[in-house]
Amino acid sequence: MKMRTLDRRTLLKGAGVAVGLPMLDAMVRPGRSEAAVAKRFIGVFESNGHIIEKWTPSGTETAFTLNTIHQPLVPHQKDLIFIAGLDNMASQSGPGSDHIRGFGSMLTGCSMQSGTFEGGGFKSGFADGISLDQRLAGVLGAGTKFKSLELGVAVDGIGHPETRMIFQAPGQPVAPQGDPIAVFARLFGQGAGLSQAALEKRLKVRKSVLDAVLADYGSLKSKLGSTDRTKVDAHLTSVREIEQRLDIRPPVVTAACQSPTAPTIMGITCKDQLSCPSDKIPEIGKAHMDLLVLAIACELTHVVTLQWGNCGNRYSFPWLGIKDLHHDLGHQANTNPLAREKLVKIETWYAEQFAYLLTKLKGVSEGSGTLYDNSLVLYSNELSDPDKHSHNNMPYIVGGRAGGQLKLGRFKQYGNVPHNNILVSCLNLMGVPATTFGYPQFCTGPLTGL
Amino acid sequence: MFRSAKLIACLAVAGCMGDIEGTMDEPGEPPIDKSMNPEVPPGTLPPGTVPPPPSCQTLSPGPAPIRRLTRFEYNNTVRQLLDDTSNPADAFAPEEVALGWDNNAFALGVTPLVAEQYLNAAEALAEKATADLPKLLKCDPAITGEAKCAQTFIDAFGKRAYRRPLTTEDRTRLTKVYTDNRAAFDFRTGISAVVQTALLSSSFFYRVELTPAGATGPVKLGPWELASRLSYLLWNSMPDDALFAVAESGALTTREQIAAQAQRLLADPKAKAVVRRFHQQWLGLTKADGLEKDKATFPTFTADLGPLFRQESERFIEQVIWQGSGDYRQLFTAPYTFINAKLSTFYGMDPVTGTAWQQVTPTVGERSGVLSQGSLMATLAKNNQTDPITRGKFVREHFFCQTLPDPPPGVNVTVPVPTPNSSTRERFARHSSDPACSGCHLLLDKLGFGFENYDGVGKWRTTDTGRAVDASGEIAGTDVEGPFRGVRELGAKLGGSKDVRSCMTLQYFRFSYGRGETDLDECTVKYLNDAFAKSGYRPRDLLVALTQTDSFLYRPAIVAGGTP
Repeated sequence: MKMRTLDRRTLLKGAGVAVGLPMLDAMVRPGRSEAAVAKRFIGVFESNGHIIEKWTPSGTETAFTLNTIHQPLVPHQKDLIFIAGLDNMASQSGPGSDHIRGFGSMLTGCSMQSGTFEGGGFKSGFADGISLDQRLAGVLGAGTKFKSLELGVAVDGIGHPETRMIFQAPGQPVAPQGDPIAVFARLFGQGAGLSQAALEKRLKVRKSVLDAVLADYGSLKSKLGSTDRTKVDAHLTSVREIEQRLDIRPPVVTAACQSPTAPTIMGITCKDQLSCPSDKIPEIGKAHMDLLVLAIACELTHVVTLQWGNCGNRYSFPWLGIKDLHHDLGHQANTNPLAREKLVKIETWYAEQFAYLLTKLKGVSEGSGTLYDNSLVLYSNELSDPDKHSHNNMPYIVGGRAGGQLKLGRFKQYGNVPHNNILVSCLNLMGVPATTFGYPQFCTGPLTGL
Repeated sequence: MFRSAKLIACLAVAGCMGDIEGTMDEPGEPPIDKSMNPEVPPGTLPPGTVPPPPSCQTLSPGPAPIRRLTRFEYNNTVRQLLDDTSNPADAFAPEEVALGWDNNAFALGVTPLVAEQYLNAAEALAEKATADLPKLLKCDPAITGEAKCAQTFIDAFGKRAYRRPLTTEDRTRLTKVYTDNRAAFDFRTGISAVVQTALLSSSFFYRVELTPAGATGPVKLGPWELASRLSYLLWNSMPDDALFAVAESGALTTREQIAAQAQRLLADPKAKAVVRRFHQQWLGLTKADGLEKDKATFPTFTADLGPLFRQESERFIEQVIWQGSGDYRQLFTAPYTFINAKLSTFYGMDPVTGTAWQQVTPTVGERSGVLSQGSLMATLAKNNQTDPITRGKFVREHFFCQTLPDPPPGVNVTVPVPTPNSSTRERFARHSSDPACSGCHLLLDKLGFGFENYDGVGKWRTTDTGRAVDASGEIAGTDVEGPFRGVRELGAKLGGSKDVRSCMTLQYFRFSYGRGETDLDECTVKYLNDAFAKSGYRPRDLLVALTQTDSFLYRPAIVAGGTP
């Protein structure tokens, strides 16, 4: 008979950080100048590791040649930093499969909580910390309609440690949206077709309703034990955020925002991996990248993440002539040359998608430059070697000029440096003066020489 | 930092065997004495009777976390509350799934996106509901006066939405929302704002059960709380008027009164939808909807067959559970199934005429309940061949409640590519001969080979690449160990397994209570196993028994603001 205690501990752990969240606004560097920090954060996730030999550039920090996988990024080489030699140490302890540990810790710098989700034959809970993007959203989201935007291409609809990389607090995952049409409706459809008077009315009714709802949850909260209280508190915080943002009208900053066009995707929704025919993935991915750029161009949000599938991702790549599932190929990377070749092909395709995103960001002008100049982009994976399931020598790409703070066009090699440090660097580049992030035992401060 | 491949291989074997043997125990938690579930001769009570309440020495209810409505429950609830059939929750973010179930109370949370989706849904629902004010209000503001009519509505609607009488605090809050919006706009807007507020309130969206002040030991739930527990367990929806009436009159207190209501709810079609949902999740039936197959290998498979596979199983399950003896074991053993013309052509069965679904006992091939249906056989397969590993793993995880690890890193898990000169069985043979793999794979593949008569799209076959199919299998590490041949013999083994019966009880427990079992539920689980056996293994009776346990009728006292 299986008798186990459920993840109550998990939720208990969540209480501390959730309560701490409102502090974040106060942590923004006072009097920061607009030019000195990045305004936006864009995180991109690709699954199943990399063929490191074909990933790692050759040459020196400033004079280097991109490897096979990164050929599509050659036009952007001078605008990116390729980073090797970071170890994801937080993933090397705690429960969960290799994929899950690497994934959960990727943006949180924390291990997995214990829990009852089964994956790869191991049980775990969700990640034990807030993710970088959500921490940033707490700071950068204050003036935008959406604190953050999470997009996912053929991500499994089921919420599970294998499918969630974003955490608003320890153990509290945030689901990405999969259907570009629904994302567009959320971003631009609110109040579409309503007269100004009708919009004003809706806003006023909303305010009155949400005030009552907030009072209701506040009253309930005080009557609950701590496990339930954590849960209801997350709900309360979410409602409060909506309430606080009711008055925000996005400023129209680019011509594209005056008449945003909906994605032209015919006859597919791709809400999740199940409903997404694998041959539609490129189309859906492109639609998401277009929306991502549109959302930040229109100042609807400052924090966006794009998640290509789950960790240990299982979709195939029929448009590349690859019928095998990505995860299955990963397990053959070091023993089957044919599989290895296919993986290189897959990773090159992902690099091509990344190049598309970068080009789009550079294509929207802002002030005297482009969106790219005031953004910070982080490209990451849950594994390094897909076959060994390694979490050492993790590959990253950093991009965006971050308001002019970053010296781009480099290949930076570290050795035995914890990956939590890159998360701290990202916080600093966005104007958050942190010295540590995630589990402190796996963090020694910001990356030196980034 | 890497462990050597050889070491990993050894760990894998040990890990797998260890896992199977101790499958039900978490490390660090005391194992539960299996003798606590002595076999009870099945069918000792007439069907439909629930055995006497558990006789535990001390009351021991399991945890009672606050439960959020799932999308399915939200849709059902607004259908009853507002007569709204638009299924607005379909647009909500999907649930987190723990232990295989989408209603796990610990796993379900709320994020800003989800809160936004509720808000949009509440606005849309209120707008539709207030389009026909006379139907909604049941009073005429022109006759009674607006304020009085609004107050009547707030009390009546509030009680149904919150599933209990309003507190003074609730009433004050809803009345203020009405008054403010009436003053700013009009009567209709005032009512609409009340509906929105109620739909967004905690008492609608969660099942709130509070501990009375001063309580210390197990708390007996009140009639309104029990009414909600009953209706959400059996209908995944709110109570109906009759259930509210017995709660109000005080006639929902004794175990007999609760069992009588459970029987009544079970007779409603809404209970059938819940049982269908149980099986959809337990058997992963909805996976069939998005099924894709390699066109070159399976030219007769078309995308529209996937949903038909699911419907076939749903119709079959409905027959097994609700008609005749209702013994769940027929799910593994029944010789019949349900097909329509398209499916009969695809399966190569004797053709059926007309467009309707029909119950048939196919003459071609072996049939053994869900084990021979496309919903399982085609989803538990690769896109271009069968998959004995996945099939074996599914049986162990879903029917025996066992957990199995993924292959360890560094082990070559190349899926053998189909060739014209090898059967699946031959291609997968290495798993069982290589000691790096065999520890787990003997447990998986040997079981999965028993399904080899069903190809990768669920069609019966007697040859595989020109060779006669060998569907001999073996099932180790369970109480029904030993060899078998084909799905019919496997079905008989599953039907006869006590481990499978205990697993069924656990699956219903997890689904019905929205959480995993804990040590505190020991007595509850023992009672459920006994009751299931005495009923002749009828899930219908198990569902009633689930309303008779300590864990259903009581909850542990919670100190507000305290732990846990």
